[in-house]
Amino acid sequence: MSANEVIRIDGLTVRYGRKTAVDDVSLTVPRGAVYALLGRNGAGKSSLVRCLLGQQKPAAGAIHLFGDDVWRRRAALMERVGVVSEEADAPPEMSVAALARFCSSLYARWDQEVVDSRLRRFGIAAASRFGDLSKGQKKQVSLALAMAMSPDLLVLDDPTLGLDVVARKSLFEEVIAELADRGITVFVTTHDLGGIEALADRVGIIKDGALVVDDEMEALKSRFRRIRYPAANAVAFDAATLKPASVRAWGGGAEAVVTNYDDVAFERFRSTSNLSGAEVAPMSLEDIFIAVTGEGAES
Amino acid sequence: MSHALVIAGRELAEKRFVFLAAAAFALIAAVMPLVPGVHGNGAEAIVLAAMILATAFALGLAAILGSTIVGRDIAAGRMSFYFARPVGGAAIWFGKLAAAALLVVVSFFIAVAPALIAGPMTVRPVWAGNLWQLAAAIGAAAIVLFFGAHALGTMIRSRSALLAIDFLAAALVVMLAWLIARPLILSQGFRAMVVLGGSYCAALLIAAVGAGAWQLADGRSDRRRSHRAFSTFFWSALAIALVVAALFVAWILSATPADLSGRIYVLQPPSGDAAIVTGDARHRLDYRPMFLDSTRIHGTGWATFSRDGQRVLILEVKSPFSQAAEFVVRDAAHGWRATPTRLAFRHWVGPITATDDVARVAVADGSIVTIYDVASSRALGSFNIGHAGRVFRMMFFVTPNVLRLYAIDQKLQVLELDVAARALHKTGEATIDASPFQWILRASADGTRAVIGKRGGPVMLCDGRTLQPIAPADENARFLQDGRLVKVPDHFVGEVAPGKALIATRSSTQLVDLDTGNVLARADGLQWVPKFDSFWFAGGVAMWSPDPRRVMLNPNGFYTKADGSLVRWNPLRAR
Repeated sequence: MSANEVIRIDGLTVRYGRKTAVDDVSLTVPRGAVYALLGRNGAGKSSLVRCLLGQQKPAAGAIHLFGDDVWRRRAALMERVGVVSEEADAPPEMSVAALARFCSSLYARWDQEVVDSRLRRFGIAAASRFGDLSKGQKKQVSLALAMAMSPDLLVLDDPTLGLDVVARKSLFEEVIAELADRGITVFVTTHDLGGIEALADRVGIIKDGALVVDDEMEALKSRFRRIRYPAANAVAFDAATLKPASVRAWGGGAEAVVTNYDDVAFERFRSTSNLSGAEVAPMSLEDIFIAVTGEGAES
Repeated sequence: MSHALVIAGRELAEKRFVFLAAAAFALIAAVMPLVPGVHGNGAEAIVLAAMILATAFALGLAAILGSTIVGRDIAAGRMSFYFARPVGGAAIWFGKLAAAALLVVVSFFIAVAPALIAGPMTVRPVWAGNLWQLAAAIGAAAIVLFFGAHALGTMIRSRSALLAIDFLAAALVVMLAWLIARPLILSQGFRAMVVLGGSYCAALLIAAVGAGAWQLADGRSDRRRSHRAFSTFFWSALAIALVVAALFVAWILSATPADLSGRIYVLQPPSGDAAIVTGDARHRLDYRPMFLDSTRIHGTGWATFSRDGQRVLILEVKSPFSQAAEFVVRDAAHGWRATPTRLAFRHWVGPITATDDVARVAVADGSIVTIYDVASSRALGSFNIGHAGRVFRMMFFVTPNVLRLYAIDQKLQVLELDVAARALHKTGEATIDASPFQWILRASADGTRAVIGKRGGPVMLCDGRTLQPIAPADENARFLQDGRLVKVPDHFVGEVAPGKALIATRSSTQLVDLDTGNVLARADGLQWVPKFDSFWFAGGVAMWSPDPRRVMLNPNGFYTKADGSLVRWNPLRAR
């Protein structure tokens, strides 16, 4: 593992009985990167995150954070890892202030001002019981606690779940962007593809437990293209060495999503298929996600 | 450690309402004298109410905390909150455990406070001295409830098929623990049993505490993995404990006759080399093994050898927890292997006596005396001897068909049970002006004569059957094998050959000619081992009845040397 890698996952497999939730996943996240792990519900994201945090022992494979095996060295590693979990898991009877006090006594680095300012900003009273807060407020408290311990790695498991538009905007534009600027590594799973698109350096898409996409954001967006062409018949993608992820009827013609677009191949496609009217269009992260994870899609 | 304290502090802060609830219980106890219908000493009412309420509160709290303190967080998916912090699983467990212990203990003393305050005011000492014992008992019960509830909570909440394996493992552990402990229990090694029982309790506690820590360290936030980790540690720890316990019991039971070192007793037939020996085993706590020659036997409630020493009839106790017993025959020709007779009893019986060949045995059960044929397990005759059955002094077979009883029904009575005629006869009676415990009653080997009287009072030689007086006798007079009645010297043990008696003191044993008083053999440093014609070793099942026909001792007797080791010495062969 290189010194620059904050997260290294090798052959991670998680099984529940006969069901394989995560199937031989390998990925790395370099220092300072924002890694977005995307996937539909039940794709295996939460299992992967639990393993990433050393909370679950995988059936096979290993995860290293900062070069250490997270299963064996979880307690020490969590000193450097801030976590915002998918479900608010803090004890509901505790007040926000008590939660902050409790956490502050567990971490060597603790900045209470981070907690106080975030609570002030979102109008959360420190005396409130955690269990009485709204879903969004709970996320904000969890985020404040995760930020206050000055993490080297922040793991956000669907952090926008339950957040209103303002809070969501704040999360992406201020928090994650700021962390990225400070060189803090962020590993985020989210369904908010629009929000993460501008921030993520690298994207992984998990489908039925398998990591079907693991690429730099820019590279991903450059190789995924939507091609529309005026022909309903089969066309020569193979001859053009283009790899379609999906093909569907569109207007009088068809629309294909290719996963390995380049200009030369596209020109070859147009010429070999006599489709001079074929058009190519870039795709958003959401389009790419749908193309990869949608019904019948193949990567 | 500091993280465990932080966790404990958080738990206490979260559950501080428990102290308020305990205070409310204390208040209820304090106002008890004001409750309509409560009469008598007000302080006593407060003490009793506080003790009852505090006990119920502490035990209930222990059970609730046990089932929720970890299990609820895991089931609700909230344990990830702790695991996302730089805290080890063991710190989480021991922090929560410490908080639970503190909650139970402090709550108990809050709830019982009215008893502590009102206790000295009570007329009867309902609390004095008992409070700490009560607290210790409640503490033990609370520990059992806490860990029991935690284990059950962990297993049930996982909703895993592993639960079935847990129940199987539990059944197996209980069965093995019993099988390991049983030989010690049967041999009445009380201190060894206490050590074993204590070890079982300690192992259970260690296994439960360790399993809780391992459950969080290895199972972490997943309830099924948590269950698996808990069960793996718990049953593995108990399996190791059982292996250690088995080794301990095996070591205790490995004692041989050479290891006997104190409180030794011997049962010997008049002739032959066979013997049953029991005593304290060296370096084995209070274990008292019993050996028939070199064969270890357990549960002997009563035993007697045949006159030739080739067979022994034993009333074997089935379990130390019941009074059930059965006669078994052990035969030298069959390597002393036990042969059950199907002559079984569900409660204590006695006295018991057998014929010379142990073919027949007479058993008194209250006022009913029954004579059995051992080989066929058949009752040959059963006799109701009425009130005379309350106190037996002596019972023996005059002939295989006639059983004679010396029993007390206001007077000393002689009864004869004739098996062949199926008849019960009262053949004689006598009045002795003393408590039965002061009586002297000795019969000659053939039963024709008896000496009766009281200690320190008149003693009379009588007809053994009718108790008709024949002549005054000395208090120290004993019948010899040849029928003579002679005054024996101090420290007289018994006759080992016609006219030759053993005289035993703590420091030496002598063979003395009773006619001349000459010392024929002497062994200094040998102490005679007490010997009985028949007696109980374990369980106190059957009363002892002296058999006057067994007047002759086996000359090849048992002695202990100064170092406590057991040796045999035959004074007739000594030079």
